[in-house]
Amino acid sequence: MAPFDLNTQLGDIGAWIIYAMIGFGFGFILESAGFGDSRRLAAQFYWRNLAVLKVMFSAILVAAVLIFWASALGWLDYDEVWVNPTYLWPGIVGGLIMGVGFIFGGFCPGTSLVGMATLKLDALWFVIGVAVGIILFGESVHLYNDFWHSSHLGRFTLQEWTGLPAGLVILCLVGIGVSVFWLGDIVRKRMWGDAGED
Amino acid sequence: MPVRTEAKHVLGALALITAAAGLAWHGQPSALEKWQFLAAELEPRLVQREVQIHPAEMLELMHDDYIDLRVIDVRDERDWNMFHLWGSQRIKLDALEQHRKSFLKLPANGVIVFVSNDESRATEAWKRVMAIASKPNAYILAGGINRWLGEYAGHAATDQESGHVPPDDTLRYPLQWAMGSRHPAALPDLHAIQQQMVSRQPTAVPDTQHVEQQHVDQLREPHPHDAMRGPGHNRGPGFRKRVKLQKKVIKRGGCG
Repeated sequence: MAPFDLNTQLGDIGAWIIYAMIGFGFGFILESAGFGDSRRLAAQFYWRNLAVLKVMFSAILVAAVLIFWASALGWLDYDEVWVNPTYLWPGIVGGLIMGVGFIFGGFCPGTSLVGMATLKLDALWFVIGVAVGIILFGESVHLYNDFWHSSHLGRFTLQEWTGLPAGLVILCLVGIGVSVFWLGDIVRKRMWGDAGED
Repeated sequence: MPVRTEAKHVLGALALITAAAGLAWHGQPSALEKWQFLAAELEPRLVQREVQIHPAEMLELMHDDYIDLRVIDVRDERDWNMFHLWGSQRIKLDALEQHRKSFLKLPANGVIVFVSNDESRATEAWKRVMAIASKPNAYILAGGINRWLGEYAGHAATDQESGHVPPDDTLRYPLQWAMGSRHPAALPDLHAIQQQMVSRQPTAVPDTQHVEQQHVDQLREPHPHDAMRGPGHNRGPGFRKRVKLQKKVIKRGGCG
């Protein structure tokens, strides 16, 4: 039953090859979807191009459906899948900072690496900014360490929050996702008309 | 948007909704179903008695400050009131799932030991918790409370493994009063037992005189605690340690 410890089963080199292949695939898809272009990414926030919302949310929904179907069929032990622990308020503040950075910079950290791979200058500067931010955070974290570790909820998932079965939560998410895609397109067409990008 | 592209999007959305609806209808596996999935991997450990720990090893664990030991007693309230191990927690079999989160949070030095009068209920609890809590570092007290009392309260051993006693998971030790964890055998003095092994002198076992004499008599026979005395001192069959701290490899990921 998955997940498998690749380092044990394939050896370090075998596992690294798998990781590299996954990374390659991830980067390839991001670049193919046009996520190496900061203008296309930033257009999301002006409701002119909803590709980021559609690709990312579709990926999340498809992954969720596959993970929980695999769990339902006994192929995957969901409890052994790593879920980032929730630190509620630090998470909210961090999300705000990240969102503002995304709007200003036109990239998120992952897509900036994709942009840099195609030698985009703005992506390079964004990556330099990310590196400086990481260093600054590391050097100053002791000043707000208590806040950083506050409101720890552990592995806290939507099904635990709502008390609903995982399948029903995913069905609701899929419903919300599809509705947002559909409504988003209607709003985009009204706002931008032909100037909007599909 | 071209009509064909739009049709593909609609088909994709319908496929996703159908898959999600099917998932909601099918549901996630129960503890029992999950055990069926895991049985091929875990059943051999039960059969080969890799997870049944000897009372002497349990006693060592109870005195080991490094180990974060959780003793889960799955017997009924009456038996629990009569006697239970020091520091143990009583959880009904059906209520184990409610404690899932605490099992999932078990630290790296955490060890869970399930206890019942013999082994059958503890084995059932072990299966359920292995299934619902991501295979924690969990074990079963070999022979259960009956054997424990046989070892540390001076009663004749009721070893399920010997086949002399049917594993009906009832408390067979003749306790007169409900003593809970105030019974001396709830937390036997490991140091005193080890000293007795070394000196072979009958030193005080914290129990009534009658029980003490029985215990001393028992200690004169080959005893598993002989294994604690180190190499060259074994005079009995000893026991093989089962508990291993499992260091789980955590692969953390994320997308920036």
